Amino acid sequence: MGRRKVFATAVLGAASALSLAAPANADHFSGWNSVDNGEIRYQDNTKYNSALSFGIEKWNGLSGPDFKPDSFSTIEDLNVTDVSGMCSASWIGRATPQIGADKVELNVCLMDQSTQNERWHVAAHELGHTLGIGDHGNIQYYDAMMYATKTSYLTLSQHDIHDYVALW
Amino acid sequence: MTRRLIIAAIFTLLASGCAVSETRPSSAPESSSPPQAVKTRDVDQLMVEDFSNVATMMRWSDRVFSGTVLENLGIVVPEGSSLPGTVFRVRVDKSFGAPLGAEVLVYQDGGFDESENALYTFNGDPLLEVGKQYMLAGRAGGPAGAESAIVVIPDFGTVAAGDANMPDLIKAAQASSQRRS
Repeated sequence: MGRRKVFATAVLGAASALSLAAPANADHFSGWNSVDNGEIRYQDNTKYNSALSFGIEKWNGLSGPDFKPDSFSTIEDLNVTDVSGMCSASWIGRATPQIGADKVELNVCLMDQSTQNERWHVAAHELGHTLGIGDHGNIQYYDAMMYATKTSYLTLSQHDIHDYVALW
Repeated sequence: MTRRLIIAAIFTLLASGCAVSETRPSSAPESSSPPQAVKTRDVDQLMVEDFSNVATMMRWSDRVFSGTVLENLGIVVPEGSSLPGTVFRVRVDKSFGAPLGAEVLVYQDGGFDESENALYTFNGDPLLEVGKQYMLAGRAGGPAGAESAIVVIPDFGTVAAGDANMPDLIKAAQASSQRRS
């Protein structure tokens, strides 16, 4: 999405920063989701179980699609896995649509270096993508679960909820 | 899925002795016009820092340099992932900070996935192009199969020569290099 074009250097003045700011009610949609028949059946292949549980609890607390464990009688919609050997990577989590089950990948090396709150934030953030919510790149959304950089915020912001409600 | 490591060829050893031992050719990224019907999928990654801030990027990176892409060596899929990264052989034109050899390997998230006939990009970062010069920033130490590669930061750490932000980037890199020395 060409974020290179909006390098936020220290020399950017307040006026230009204001001009880049998205309106408070802007929608952030990822253009895809893992919801199938009103739910997301997930396969838990991560060692970060408490983080995954936190994320599920957070989004399931809203009225809409629920995350539920996959079973023999259901079709897997989402696979949550861990990626190893990426200690030098700049990403800690990512979600992507796939043929078959979509995927959430957690970077083991960087997750292990993070605090519990940060790990929980990462899991909830990635699950947000599987619900169709996109990244919130602007600094005005710093306290949002869907802010594009790792933080330790653990509550859904008004804007997270706004996007969720707009979708579901 | 076990698409992780499908090794198709052994690639030319670098002059430095570095080798990419577990890669496969990436047919799409070589040219700017990928084969017809190739799907493009852009993936948003949650970043550990706000790399839109140049100072943050310079502080985080242990390798910052300008370089010219010489060769696309193919893809490497990290252990546990199903998403490709691409390894490039890059001539170092100017290093800011850590001394680098004449050539280095660069690992960039993204690449062509033959099984899905899809070209993956991450955070809107187009794949590096052979013959082009870039300002590159990242950290040393790629995934298995590309351990000696420098893992570049998507988008902000792969700025093409001629980009309007280049002068600011070079200035920041020089300042960061001076602070470290």
